[in-house]
Amino acid sequence: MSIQSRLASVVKNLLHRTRVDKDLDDELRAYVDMAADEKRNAGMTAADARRAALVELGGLEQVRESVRDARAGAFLNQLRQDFVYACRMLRRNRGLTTIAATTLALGIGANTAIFSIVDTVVFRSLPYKDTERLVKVWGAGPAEPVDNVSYPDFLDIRSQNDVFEQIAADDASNFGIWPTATHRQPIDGAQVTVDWLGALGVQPQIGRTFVDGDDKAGNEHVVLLTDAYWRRHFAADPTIVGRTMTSDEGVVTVIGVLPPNVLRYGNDFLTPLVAAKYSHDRGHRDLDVFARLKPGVTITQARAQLDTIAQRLEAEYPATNKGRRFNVAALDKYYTSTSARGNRGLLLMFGAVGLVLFIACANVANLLLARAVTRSRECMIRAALGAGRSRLIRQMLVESVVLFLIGGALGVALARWCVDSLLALAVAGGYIPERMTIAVDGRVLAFTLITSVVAGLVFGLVPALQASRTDLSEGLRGSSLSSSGGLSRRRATKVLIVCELAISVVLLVGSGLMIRSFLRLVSASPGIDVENLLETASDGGRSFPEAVAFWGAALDRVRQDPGIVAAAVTSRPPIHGSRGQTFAIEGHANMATGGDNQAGDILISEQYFKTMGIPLVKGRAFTEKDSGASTPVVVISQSLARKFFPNEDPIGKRLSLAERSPMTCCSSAAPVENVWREIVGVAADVRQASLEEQPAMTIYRPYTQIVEHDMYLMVRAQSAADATRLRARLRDQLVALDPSKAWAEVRLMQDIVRSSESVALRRFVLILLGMFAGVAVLLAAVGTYGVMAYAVADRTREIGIRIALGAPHATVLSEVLFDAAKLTLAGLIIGAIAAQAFTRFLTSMLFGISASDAVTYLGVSCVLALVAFLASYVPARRATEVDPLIALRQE
Amino acid sequence: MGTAKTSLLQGTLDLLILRALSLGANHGLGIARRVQQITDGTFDVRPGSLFPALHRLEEQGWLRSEWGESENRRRAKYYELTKTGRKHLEVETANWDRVAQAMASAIAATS
Repeated sequence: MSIQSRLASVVKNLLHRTRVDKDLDDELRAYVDMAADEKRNAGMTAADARRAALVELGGLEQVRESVRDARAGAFLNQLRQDFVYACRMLRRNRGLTTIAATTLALGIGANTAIFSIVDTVVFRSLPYKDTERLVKVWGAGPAEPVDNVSYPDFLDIRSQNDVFEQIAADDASNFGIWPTATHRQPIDGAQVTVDWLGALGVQPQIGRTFVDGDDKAGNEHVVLLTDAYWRRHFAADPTIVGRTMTSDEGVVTVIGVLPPNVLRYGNDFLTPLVAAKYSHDRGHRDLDVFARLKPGVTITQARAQLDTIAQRLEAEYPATNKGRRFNVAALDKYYTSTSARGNRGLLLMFGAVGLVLFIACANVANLLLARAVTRSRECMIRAALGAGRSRLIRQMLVESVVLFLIGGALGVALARWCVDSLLALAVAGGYIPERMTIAVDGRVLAFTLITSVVAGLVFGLVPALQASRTDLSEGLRGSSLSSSGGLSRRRATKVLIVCELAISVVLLVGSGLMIRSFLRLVSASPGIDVENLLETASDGGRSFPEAVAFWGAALDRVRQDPGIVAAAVTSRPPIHGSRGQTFAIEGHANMATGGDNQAGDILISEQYFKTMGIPLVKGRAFTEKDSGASTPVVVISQSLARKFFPNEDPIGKRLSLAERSPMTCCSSAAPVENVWREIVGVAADVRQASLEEQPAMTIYRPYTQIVEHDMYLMVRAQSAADATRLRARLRDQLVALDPSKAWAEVRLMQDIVRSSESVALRRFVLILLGMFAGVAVLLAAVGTYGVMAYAVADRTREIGIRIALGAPHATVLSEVLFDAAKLTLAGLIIGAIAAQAFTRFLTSMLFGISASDAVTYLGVSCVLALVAFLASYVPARRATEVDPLIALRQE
Repeated sequence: MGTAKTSLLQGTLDLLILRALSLGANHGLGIARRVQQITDGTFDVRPGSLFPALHRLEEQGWLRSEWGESENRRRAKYYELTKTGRKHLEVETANWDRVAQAMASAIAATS
């Protein structure tokens, strides 16, 4: 079937449903009746006459069918004519077409780009099979309500449950490989149980999945790459299977590529989890676990059974599993709740970009309205020739839809071009999981197509109605200047302009609030000196002596560098958050009952305060003499001192923390005991959690008395030049020290602060809203200019007469400006009210100011008033330069 | 049937229908009979081609239709020419005259 005839049958079906069909049946029946009457009158019997009439008709169904074809054909034919005509008109008005299409391309392109992200992240369901049966399983301990699961616990759940069809686990921590031998930048992978993909119902798009045996020691050097990594680093090479890469464990082979967006977190590859090599420590909880419910099993049943298993484990292994339970929730709900904040932000931007599209469409509608004046004469001529009004409207609508489709096509090109940078911004802000594949695909194109067509119809309707308003007696007089159609056209135009100005206010207020929050945030001091400060991280080892020795050696090595002022290690640098610990103070009764004796718990080395630039308020910092053998000591933060020692000197007082014996630092199986520590110093407050949160109480302990296996190495360089040099060389120095250890990328603290979530979160919204607001103001200015210019042109004759009669130029000028001022004021008032409603959604993003910040509203009003004034000043000037002679000759 | 012939026939039929209706509104059967009449019985328009043509012409805006009552009190759909339809008839009539004269002289010249 040709496209034309397929299209024809679609149209036919659309056109000919019940009413038209019934009408046709009646018509044909009437024909048969009358033909029979005729034949009876000619002398036939009633029965013969009827039979003859039916024969004359031919098959009823055939007639019906050919009538439908004829109608559909005629409709399509006209549509084609309208289309050809529309293209001709658009080509003839090249200037207008270019301006309108560019405006629309901006609006539709921005919407397409945002939609492609929102669609993939928010709207589309997870790319797994039978997602409704997939559940996430996690642990919940007395201290941590959401925790991962240890490998032995996972094995016990796997063997003791009968609610899951499959259960799989992955560990996304501490695993890196290097793509090439020279490229010493590890990429992140997750170790997964071999049935992981099977449980999700995911097949690799190329290559093979993991099979039993891949997890036997010696066979495990195989990886599956993510779609995003494969596209970015291997240019989607279809022959990737069999390629090898270097890892810290040897050479690994690529066996396949995952479909897009299977991994919700930032990993680049999967590799089998090898039971023989993986930690069997029940206190080592690093596994993400999920499962597929058996058909018919509910989440409540699964939860009940996991409770039973947890109780059994608690009785059997009280040291590690005391008070521990397992929790379970639908996987899609789990993801939705973990990403709720990001989703809200994305939807907010989707709404904002919709406003931009509205302004763009309103501007184009204004252009079309202005042209409706010229077009109405053409329409009148056609109407005089007998074209019906509906035909004229259809013609004008086809024209505006074609125009919007051109804008849409350009918009898609624009979206393709900018979607990657947009994505990078959104990822940095934590709005979407890292490394997702986001493409301008079929769904997105469908969205753009529908948006263009609907917007073209909606915003083309008023201009079409205007142009097709064919009051013959009036139109043929040939003067559009005096027509009353002009009045309603002007009204429509003004409404559109007020809307544009109001929307500009909303977007400007939004971005103004974001700019002010952002400035306050970045100037908020984290409590440390971020300049020339470097950070890297490593795994110190699994035993206390090993870790202390490793970090001691690392510190000795880096301190040899002449460009270094100081170096230290810490369990958590500022902005990275901290783990809460309950403490008690000697001599303070009823401490444990409050909830306020929680403090951040950080392990540090000597020189930490010096390295970070944290002032010591009182007492001393740790020295090399504070070791496992000496008195347990502690440094507290100023906020803690102020709260618990308001009128006394904290130095020399003691506080206690629940600690495990240092000699078994990294095994949580060690018994917990309360250790009394002497306060030796008070340090200034630091924003440990994030830039936007007030500094919390913090307790520092020397890492030589207790150590974690993952620690950060902090280095303060002499100068920016040293920092740059060290950034490039530091890791090599450290790797040379112990080639078996991997080190994280060396980063500048400044960059860490700048890309930390609270900043990046706002940067995304700030940049987008700022861009939207900029485009909105620009379009509103152009729109205002256009409207005022037309208003002046409309009144040329009137103004000319008044000038001829001696009206001062200043009066004419101020009158036009006053008109513009009325519109602007209306826009500002409506916009301010709308902004109050809109900025409610921004509240969580604001920092240090309120959503009804007067400075912002005032500033926005001034900016917009100024823009509107400038946009209307030029037409107003022109009005005063009207030459009465020329104006009057226009008649 | 070749396309050229079809379109020629279709054009002819359209012209005949428009011409028949230029004498006044009429229903399907009436139009068929009137065409027969004005062509001295040369063209017998069957419903199978008449109704598609009527609907096509209506869709193109040359005809409009309305339900009414026939001379022997039957409900029937009446067609009449629109202003565009009348205009189109004039144009097409002029065209046809030109074609007919050209054809006539062409045939006369060869014989």
